[in-house]
Amino acid sequence: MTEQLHLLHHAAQAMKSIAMVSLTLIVAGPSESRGADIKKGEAAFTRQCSLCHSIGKDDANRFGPNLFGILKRKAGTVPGFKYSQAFLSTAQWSWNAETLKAWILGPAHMVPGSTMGVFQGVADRDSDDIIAYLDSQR
Amino acid sequence: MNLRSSIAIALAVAVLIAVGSTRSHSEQKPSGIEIGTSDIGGVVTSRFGPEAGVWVIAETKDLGTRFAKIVVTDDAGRFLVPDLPKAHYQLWVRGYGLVDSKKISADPGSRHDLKAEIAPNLAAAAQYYPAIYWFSLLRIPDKSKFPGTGPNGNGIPVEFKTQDQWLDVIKTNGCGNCHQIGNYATRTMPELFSHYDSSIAAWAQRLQSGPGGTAMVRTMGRLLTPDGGHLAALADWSDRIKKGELPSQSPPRPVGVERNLVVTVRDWLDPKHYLHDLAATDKRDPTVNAFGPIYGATELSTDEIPILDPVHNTKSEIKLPVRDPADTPSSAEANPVFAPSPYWGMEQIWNSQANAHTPTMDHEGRVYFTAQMRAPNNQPAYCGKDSPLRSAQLYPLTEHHEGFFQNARQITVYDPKTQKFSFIDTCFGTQHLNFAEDDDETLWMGTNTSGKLAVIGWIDTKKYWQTGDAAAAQGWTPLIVDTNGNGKRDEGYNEPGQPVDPKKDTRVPFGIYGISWSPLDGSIWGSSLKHPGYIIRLAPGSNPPDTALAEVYKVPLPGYGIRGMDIDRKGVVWVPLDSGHIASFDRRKCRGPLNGPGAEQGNKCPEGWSFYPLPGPSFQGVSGAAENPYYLWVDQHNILGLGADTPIATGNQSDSLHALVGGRIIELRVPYPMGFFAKGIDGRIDDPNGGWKGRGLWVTSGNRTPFHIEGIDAPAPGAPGKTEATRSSPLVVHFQLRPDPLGD
Repeated sequence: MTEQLHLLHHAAQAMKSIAMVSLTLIVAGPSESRGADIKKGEAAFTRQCSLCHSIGKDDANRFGPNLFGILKRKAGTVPGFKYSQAFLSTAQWSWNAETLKAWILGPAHMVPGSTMGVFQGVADRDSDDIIAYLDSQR
Repeated sequence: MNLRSSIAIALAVAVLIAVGSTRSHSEQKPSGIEIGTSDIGGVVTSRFGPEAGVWVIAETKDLGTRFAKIVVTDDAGRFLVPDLPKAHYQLWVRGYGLVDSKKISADPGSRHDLKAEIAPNLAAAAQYYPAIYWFSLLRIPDKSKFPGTGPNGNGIPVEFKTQDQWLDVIKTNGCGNCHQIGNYATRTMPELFSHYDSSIAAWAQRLQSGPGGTAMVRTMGRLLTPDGGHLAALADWSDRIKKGELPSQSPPRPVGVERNLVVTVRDWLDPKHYLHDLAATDKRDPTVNAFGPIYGATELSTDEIPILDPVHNTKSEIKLPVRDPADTPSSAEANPVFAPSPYWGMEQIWNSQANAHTPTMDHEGRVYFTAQMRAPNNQPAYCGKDSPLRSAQLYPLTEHHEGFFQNARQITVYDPKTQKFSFIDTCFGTQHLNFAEDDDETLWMGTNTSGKLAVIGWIDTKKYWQTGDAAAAQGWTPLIVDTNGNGKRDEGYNEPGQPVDPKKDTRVPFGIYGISWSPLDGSIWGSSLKHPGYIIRLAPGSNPPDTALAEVYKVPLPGYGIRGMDIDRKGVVWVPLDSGHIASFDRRKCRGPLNGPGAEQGNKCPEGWSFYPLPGPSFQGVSGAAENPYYLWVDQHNILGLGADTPIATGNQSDSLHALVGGRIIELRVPYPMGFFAKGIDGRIDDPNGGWKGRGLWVTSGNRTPFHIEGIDAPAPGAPGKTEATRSSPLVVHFQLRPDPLGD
C-alpha cells in the first residue's frame, strides 16, 4: 500500500512537471518559432548528454538508453536497456517536446529515484536546442 | 606562448641553474664505494659533472616477479644498489632534468659508471614528472561560482556549496579514488577515442568504458554543467597538453635523507586485476610473519588473492572462497562493461564474489579479509531484535539488499598454517579493520555505509577461535553522541534528520572508513567521508552495546576531504586530506566540554587540529597542493627508521609516500615504474638485529587500472605497455631506508 502511494505521488509529480513545462511552451510558443538551433543542440548534447547516451542509429545502449528516434516513442521501451524500477513505474508517457523538456530540465524531480537523477538537468536556454537535435536524429 | 608556458620555461631555466650550482659544489673525487658480490655500484655523471639526487635503476626479467631495485645518487653522483638477487640486470639512470640514460647490462658484484642524459628541453624533462605536475594544469571553477545555483543560475549544481566540495569529488572522493589523473595514460587520449571531432565527446566515451564505466559516469554526472563542467574541463586540459602546454613547476630531486631510500619493486597478479590493500604482519607486533608471504586483497576485480614470497621473488594466487557460492552475487552485476575499454575491449574483467577489501594479520599469522561470503539479502536470524545478542536487541540489522551491494562484506580468515578458510558471518558490513591490543584480541571494523547501517562492529577473536561461534563473538553499536550531556549513553536517542530533543542523546549516521585503536586509552577512532570530512571517536565503555559513546570532530578549514586515517602511540589521530595536507587531531588539546547540545555536529574542538602542507603544485587559484592522499599509516614501531610514530601518507598524485618528520615532508618516491598509487601501508621487521636490511614498509599499488602504470619496456616514459605481456600488473613496493646513500 505504501509503495502504491509512493508511485501515485511520483506519477502526480511527473504530471505536474509536464503541466508546468506545457504552460511554459504555450507562453513561449513552439521550439521552431523561437529558432531552436540543431547545431547548438548537438553541441549541448555532447556537453551534457553524451556521457550517458549514444545517438547513432545502431549504437549500443550505454549507461542510458540509445536516443535515436526518441521523439514519439513510448517511454521505457528501448530494446535491451535495463530501466530503473522507479522510471518504469512512473514514466507512462510517450516522448514528445513537452515530456522530453520536462524530463531533461529536472530528471530527479520528474522521476525521483531514477538513475538519471545524478544529473541536475539542462539549462532552460539549451533545452529547445537539444530537443530539436534529438528530433533530427530519426 | 602563453603566460603559463613562459613561467614554466623560466622556472626550468632556474632549476637548471640551481642544479648546475649544486654540481659545482659537489664535484669531488668519487671514492669509498664498497661493492659487495651482490651489489652494483658506480658513479653517475653527465656533461655537467657528477649527478646528485638521481635514481639508478637495476631491473631484471630473470626472477619470478617483475623486479627493480632503485637507489639515489649521493652528492658526488655515487650509487650502490645493494643486495641484488642473482640475475642479469639492466641498469640505467632516471632523474629530474634528465631523460633516461641508455640501459646497460650489469651483474651483481660489478662497477659501472653511468652517463646521465641531460633533457634537451623542458618538454622532454617533463615526461618524467609525477602526475601532480600535469594534474595541476586542470582548470577548476572559480571560487566565485560557489555555491552552485543550478543550470539556470551559475551552472554549478546546487549540491556543491563550496569549491572545496567540488575539489573533493574530482580528487579522492571521486575520480582520484581510483585513478592517478595526470599520469601518461590519463593525460593522453587512447587511439580508440581519437577519431572524435570533439574532445568532450572523446572523454564522454572514455568515461563509459570498461567495468569502471558505471562509477565514472555516476561521478561525472554530478559534475556536469551547461558548459560541460568537469567533462569539458578534462577535454580542455588534455587538449592543452596535446598542444604542448607544460607543467609550470619542476619537481625537486631527492635531498638529505630522501637519498637514503632503497625501493624494491615487484609485481603480482596480472594487468587486468587490481588490488586495494595488502597485509604483511600483525600491526601490533611487526615481527610476526618475518620473511613470510605478503597477502593482497583484490576488491571488485577477482577472487584470486595474490601472494608474494619476497625471499624467493615468486608470486602465486589462491582463490578466496565464499561460503554460499550458489547465490552470492558478483561484482560484475554492479560493474557491467557497457562500452569497450581501449585495453580490454568488452571483456568483463571484474568478476568477484568475495570483494575482499582489506586484510590484516593476527599474532598467529592468520589473515583476516573484509570480504563477502554470502548474499546481502541473507542476514542471519541473530541480527534481528529477537536475537540473544545484545547488539541486535538494541540495534537490529535486518535490512536486506538485493543483488550486489558494495559494503555487504563479512570476515573471511585464511590460516596459512592449515591453508583453510573460516567464515565469520557478521551482521554489519565491513570495510577496514584493525586489532585492539587487548586480552580478547578484539578486531574492530567500520562499515563505510552511512545512514541506518552506520555502525562500528567488533569480533572477540579469542572467543571465536575458542568456540567457533561467530554470533556470540560479535557485537556492534550505532554511533550515539552524548548530546544531553549527562556523561552516559541513553536509549531513546534522537534519530538523524529528526527534530532534536535536548534531553536525549543523538545518533549520527556517519559511516566509518579507516579505523584504528588508540594505545592511549583504548578508544576506537575512524574517519568518515562526508564532506568536509569527520573523525569519530568511540569509547566502548564496560559493555559496548549498552555503553559505547561516540564523539564527532569535523575537519575545519583549511582542511577538507578525508579518506583513511591512523593513530600514534600517544593517541593523536592522523589523517590525509584532499586540501593538500596531512592533519593531526590531538584530543588532549580540547579546551571545552566535548558533549552536550550540538556535539553531534562536530564543532566542539577545532583547537585539536593541526595542518601540515603536502608538497607539489596547486591548481591555479587554489591553495594547497593538487595532491589527493588516500590513506595514512603511522609507523608506531619505527620500522622505516624515520622515528617512532612517524605519520606516512600515500602520495597518490606523486608516485610517493609522504612521511612527516619534524614538521617537514620527506618524499619517498617510486620513480619507476611511474604511476605508483597506494591505498594502504604495512610495515614489517623481518630481523630485529638486521639493521635497515631487516625491516621495511610494504605497499601495493591500488589504482583500479594497473595497466595505466608504466609498462615493461614502455614505448614512452610513463606509458602503458602496448600489449598484454608488457602492461603492468599491480606493484608490490618495499621501502627501506639506509643510514646513508651508499649503505650496504
